[in-house]
Amino acid sequence: MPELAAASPAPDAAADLQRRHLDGCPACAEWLKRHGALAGGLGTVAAEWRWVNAPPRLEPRLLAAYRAQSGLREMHSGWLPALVWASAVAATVLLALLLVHAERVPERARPPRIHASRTQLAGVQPAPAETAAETDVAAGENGFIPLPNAANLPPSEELDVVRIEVPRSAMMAVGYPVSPDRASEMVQAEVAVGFDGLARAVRFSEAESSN
Amino acid sequence: MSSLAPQTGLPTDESLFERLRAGDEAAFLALYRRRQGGIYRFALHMSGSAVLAEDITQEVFLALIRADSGYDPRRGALSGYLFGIARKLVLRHIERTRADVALAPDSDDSALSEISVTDDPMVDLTRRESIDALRHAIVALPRRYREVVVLCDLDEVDYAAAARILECPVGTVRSRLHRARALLLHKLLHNERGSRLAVGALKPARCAI
Repeated sequence: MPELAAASPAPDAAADLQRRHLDGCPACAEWLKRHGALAGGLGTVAAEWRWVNAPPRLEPRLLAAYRAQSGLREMHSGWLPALVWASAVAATVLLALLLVHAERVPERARPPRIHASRTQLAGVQPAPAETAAETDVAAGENGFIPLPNAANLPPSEELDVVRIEVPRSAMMAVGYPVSPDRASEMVQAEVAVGFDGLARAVRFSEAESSN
Repeated sequence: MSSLAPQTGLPTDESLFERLRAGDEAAFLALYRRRQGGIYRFALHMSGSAVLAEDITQEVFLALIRADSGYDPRRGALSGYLFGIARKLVLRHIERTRADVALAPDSDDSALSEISVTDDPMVDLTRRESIDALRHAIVALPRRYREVVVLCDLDEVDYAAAARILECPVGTVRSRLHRARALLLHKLLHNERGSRLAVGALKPARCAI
């Protein structure tokens, strides 16, 4: 009987057969009537609800989100260098913090103490702080590069070398070109620290492979 | 559930999606205006809450505009993808609350108000009271039956698309729809007569001829 409720027109013979069956079968006639009424009611509900929409306030909210998302996509390529620069600054700060605490490291954990004369470092012209990252690397014979702020520090007769690990982006601070996709990798660095605990120069063990 | 084929003169959902991915704001608006109603109504019927339906609609379109939306045109129509997200969000809500929807919806959904007593709700389902009763009955259906009725009977989604949205075979959609309609009839008659019908009333009538 469910087939009788189908909307598709049956051939004349079949329709006649159905009609005669329904005339003599109250159960099927009732079933068909109810399902027909239900289909009509569902159609009415669907027609009424076709005009029910999401609240209008949703559209501007989503549009703002879309604009923000589109902006992010457009700026993505521009963000990467900025991100690298921010990483470089953060790494420099981290470097400074590590150096401040370097004196507190137990003696056995520290690398062998070495001596370096001031003249060794003086052979390298320190780069101005504001342009350090844009200039070529100016390393001395021993591979140490004066830090941008070392020029303002008093000379140190005796230097300690402290070995640390920093993000590759820190190399940008002293002029090494760094590929953005490798900026977050960690590299070994040696920092020459003066008697006052302040860093004077740095040497990267993987400087040649920074790109 | 068409994507509005080219013969309508309107761009398809998929082409609008491509354009919105390229930053075309007009394409995003066109797609939103075309599809928000269906998504909102589906969420409203499924959750019984206008507030939740609004949240779900918002989440669906936010998911679409995210860089990692995950929509792949080769895997089906965009509208099915949107309904699929809405359905998952509804199910998540149902699981979280560990309760099915209440009959009484919140906010301004006054259309689902009181069920009036009529002489025979099945005789004239075009009367206001009977339509309201039917809507109540739809919202009160178990979730698996409610979603097929909402998709196929109210949102006019075809069986194949409904099967993709519900992640089940087309045959399951048909059988659930058949069962859902029987349940609706039962609920309407149950409400009308104020007494429990015999279990046999749930089944299609079988003639002896």
